[in-house]
Amino acid sequence: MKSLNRRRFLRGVGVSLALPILESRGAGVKPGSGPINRFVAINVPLGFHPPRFFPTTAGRDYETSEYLKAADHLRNDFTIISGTSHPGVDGGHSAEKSFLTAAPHPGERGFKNTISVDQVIAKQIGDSTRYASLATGDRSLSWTANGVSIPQIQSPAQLFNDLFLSGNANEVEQRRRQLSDGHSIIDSVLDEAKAMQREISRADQEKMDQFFTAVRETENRLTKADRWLDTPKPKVEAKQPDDYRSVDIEQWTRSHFEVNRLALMTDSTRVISFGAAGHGSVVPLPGVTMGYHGLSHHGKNPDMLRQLGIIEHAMIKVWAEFIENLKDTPDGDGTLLDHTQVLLGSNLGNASGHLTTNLPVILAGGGYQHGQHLAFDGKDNYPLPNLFVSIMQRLGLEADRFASSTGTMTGLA
Amino acid sequence: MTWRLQLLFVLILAPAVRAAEDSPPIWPFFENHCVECHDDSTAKGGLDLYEAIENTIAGKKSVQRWTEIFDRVDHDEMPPPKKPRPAAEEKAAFLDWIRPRLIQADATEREVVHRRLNREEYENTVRDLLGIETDLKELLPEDQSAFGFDNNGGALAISAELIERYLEAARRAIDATLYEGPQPEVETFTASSLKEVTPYLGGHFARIDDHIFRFMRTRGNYSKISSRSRRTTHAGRYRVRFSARTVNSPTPITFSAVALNHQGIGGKSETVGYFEASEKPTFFEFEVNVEKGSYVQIFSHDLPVWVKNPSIDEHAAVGIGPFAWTGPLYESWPPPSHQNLLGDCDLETGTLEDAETVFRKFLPRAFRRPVTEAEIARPVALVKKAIDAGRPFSESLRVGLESILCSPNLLFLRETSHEQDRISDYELASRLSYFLWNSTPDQVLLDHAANGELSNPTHLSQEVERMLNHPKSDRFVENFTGQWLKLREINATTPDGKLYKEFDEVLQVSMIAESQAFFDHLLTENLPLTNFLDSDFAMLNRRLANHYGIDGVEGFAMQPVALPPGHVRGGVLTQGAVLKVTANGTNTSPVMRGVWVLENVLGKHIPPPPPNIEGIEPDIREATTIREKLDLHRNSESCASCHQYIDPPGFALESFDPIGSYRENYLQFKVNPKFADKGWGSVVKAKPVDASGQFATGEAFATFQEFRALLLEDSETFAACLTDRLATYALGREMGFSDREALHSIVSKTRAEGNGFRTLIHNLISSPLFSQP
Repeated sequence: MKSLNRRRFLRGVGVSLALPILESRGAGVKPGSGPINRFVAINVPLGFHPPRFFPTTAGRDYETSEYLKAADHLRNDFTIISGTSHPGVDGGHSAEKSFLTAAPHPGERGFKNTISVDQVIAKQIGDSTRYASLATGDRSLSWTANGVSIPQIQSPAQLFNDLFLSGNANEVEQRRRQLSDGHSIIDSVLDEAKAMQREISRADQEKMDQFFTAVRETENRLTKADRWLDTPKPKVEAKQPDDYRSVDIEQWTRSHFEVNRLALMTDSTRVISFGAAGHGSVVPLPGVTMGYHGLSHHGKNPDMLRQLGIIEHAMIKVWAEFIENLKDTPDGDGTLLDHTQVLLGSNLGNASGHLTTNLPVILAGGGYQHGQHLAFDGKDNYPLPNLFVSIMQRLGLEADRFASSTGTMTGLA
Repeated sequence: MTWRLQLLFVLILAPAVRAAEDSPPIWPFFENHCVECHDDSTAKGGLDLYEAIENTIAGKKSVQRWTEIFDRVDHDEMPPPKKPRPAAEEKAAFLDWIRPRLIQADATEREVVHRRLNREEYENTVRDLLGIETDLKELLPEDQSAFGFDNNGGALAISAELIERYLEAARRAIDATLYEGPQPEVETFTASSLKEVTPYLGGHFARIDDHIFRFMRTRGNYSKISSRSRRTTHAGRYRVRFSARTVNSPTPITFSAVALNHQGIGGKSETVGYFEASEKPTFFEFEVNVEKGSYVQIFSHDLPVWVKNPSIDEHAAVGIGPFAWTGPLYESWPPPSHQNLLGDCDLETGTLEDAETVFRKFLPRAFRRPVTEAEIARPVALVKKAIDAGRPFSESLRVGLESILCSPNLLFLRETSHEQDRISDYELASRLSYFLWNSTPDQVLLDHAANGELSNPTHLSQEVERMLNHPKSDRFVENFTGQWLKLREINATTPDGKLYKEFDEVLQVSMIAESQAFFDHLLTENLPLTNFLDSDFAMLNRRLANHYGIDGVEGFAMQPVALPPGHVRGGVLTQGAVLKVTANGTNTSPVMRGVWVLENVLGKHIPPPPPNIEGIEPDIREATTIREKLDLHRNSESCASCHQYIDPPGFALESFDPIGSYRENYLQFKVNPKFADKGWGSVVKAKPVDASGQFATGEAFATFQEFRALLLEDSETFAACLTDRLATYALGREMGFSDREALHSIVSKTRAEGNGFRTLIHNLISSPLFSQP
């Protein structure tokens, strides 16, 4: 199979940055390396076959695992974390909704989600970029405080369009009119909602409060969008990627990662979530003949495990390319990887049995002293939300808790 | 008396509501039967009765807990079987004490909230209001489900993301409604695949006269048999006509048509339909709404994946003639959507007064009730503002119209009569139409509301008949079955192509159609609810009948087919789609299927397994089957508390494989060691299926048929479950303890009236439950 050489992408590195990289409130700054001010979260909904993913030894001299061999040259750029999970998050596949929110019992009938960590971060650091955050991938990982799913951009080509292709002058003017009309409409809607409020029951008050908050926030967004209309989109030398579909997991994921890298590099956004594919279709990779979701329920059947391995190897390979590409992208006085925390994980610890414990987690970049396997208790899991708190603090947020966290992650250096 | 009990007395007697109680009469019951396990230190299953009884029954959590306590005791599940049973009168007194308190506490939790339209309802509403067919749903964020449905008021939250998307959807909808300029000229052209196919003639393609033949089924999403050589010059509705025929095939061959503009970003692709071609050339014709630059692709099915050296003299093939296109077709110019909305108002010369006339007519339909002058003034003010800013009338009017499509009065199902016993007739009209049409009331329904006719039971029932007979009620069938039977999840897994070679797109589409048609048939014919559990007929087409081993069914359309005596099919549990969505693609899981049966057929909610529990990791290599593992499971007391209910129905359904075929043995793909690297091998029979089991209540069954017979004996339980599911969907809220009496009378009234499914819908709607705030 034809594989895109990452070098081909990197030839386009000499980009013209249309925007200066703004000063960040980033703490946890390594001297001379610039602010750590970006965050990428990746969720692989069907996870990884645990015996091939986790190293069997812990600490700094851990012996690499079957899957991570492909990334061993980047060993010092990431920390692999085992024995963690989100407290109270069960319910098999529905746990995908809680990967970035840690909201307990997503499988319960009356489940309501809570805000995802990327959105908490975007609220704090998203103001200065064109996009406060980007939700990308096959399914959204990003949720608002009211538990509304933020629609994700599924096509890497579409994402590239949104980020880097400007309309002509007419289209820009038309957009400006639309934004201005949007303002008028929003004002009118707000007025109407106020009139409604006089005759609502107590039970409805919560709904109306949500509505008011949403409308006011929309006003801010329209204002921001209008402001950015006058700033030309950054130019990158990279070409718009082909319109890969998520069935083609390898190429589609690779394209997404590359566009994500460009988005970070041009400071179009500092917060990205990526919901990797976990569909039921047959992934077009040599040797794979069965549907991905079906393979994840391998029941230890050797042929199914072999096929599953082909897909999971490809995912790790593409992730490693992404990390390497970030590392090869200069940013300020360091590299893009130095300034970006990249979380890779899954809502399932073992997809074959729908288990939501012992999640596979890797944290890369962000200037940590990586190169270790942080092994927590596989029987009595360590709270994964603690990692989210560590990530937030490293971004300079004054946060001391997230969902069911009990502190920052111990052992992360 | 212990100090704790004394404390309890104090606490329980203290608040005003307890003034009438001489003592806490249920405490002795707890003390005799429950606290051994459910005290504050052991608190088995997380239940601490000391804590429970020290607090009034109030609030969601407490209502939930007390409902659970009530049910477990009522159903004799607690105290557990090996403990002494409470005397009948002791138990009755216990339940009688809880019941009124729980009803009162629950009722306050059950008020219908301002429910936001979900994205499907929004799309239907706007389409029906404006008379357009534009896609809007795709612009809006996915809605969250609760209690099994995505129209639950509590779960439908609002955020800025959503409001931004409404602005966009409103713009797209108004753009599709209004037309400016002269009518596009109708074009008529013929497009043939001949040029694209010519290099392959004599190979994978053949030609007889102007028909191009294919010997194999089309894979992927590209087909060389298409009208790609000439694309439409406009967007709009086109008529497409072409001939199709087969060769060397004793049976008809299915093909499908897909209309698309291009593959890629912003590309629109729509499956127009499935058709059957036979030996005799026949013309096929359809109308389809397309984007500019569209064409049709034909996909062949029912044919082999591969044919070596195909020959038109020997091999089966399907041939398609050239495509004749006519369009864009408009009923009138400007089209009805434009005229209905604007009336005499001219977009070029319109005035502010004209705009007001438009809004005066449109708003009551958009808001589903009469409107106030202030409500009319709002969009008028927007138009004025735009006109004053020098914008053309056409643009200015659009701003006003778009604001109506983003209005909270349209977005929310508002009900303001919370103080009354009964909601207003307009509010009732909305409940009816969102239940049966998934959309806004039409003018007729609003007129009935205006005349107060919906308060008259006879008129209400006539109106329900009218609505159920209207094609818009297909949306109810699709949405309800999509969620109740999980049909929406049909794509979640792809069956293993090695084990289930016969599975293809046509089979999958037929399966979904079967379940919908079955539901629709029971509704239309008012057949007894017991048919859902077992029926002497099935809704089948040729493909599905073959799949189920039934002869003599022709055509692609679903039709009622009498089942041969003793045939295993009958009822929803034997339908391919249900069996597929509850399987894993390659294997079946008694746990997934068991939970599904409990929740959707028997009405028993099973909580997810407790966190941090060591789940079963399936291991199909070992000699142990999943059944043997589950047997072990049930020996552990904490697992058994749920698995004693889950496993039996799951075992019974083991008689069906992941694509819904009946099986007596499991199948296994054995890799040939010689070709291990390539993964080649063959399908072999593995262990025999054991579908036997025993309900927690003791009844045992040896086969799926015996299991189904047991379900049928207790069909009341199913009727209650279906009624609960329907009411949850109809009201957009979960049913609680305080709804039980109403639900129960709907079920018994329906049974007394012949137990028909349509009768059930009528009784649900005429029940006070449906018209209470």
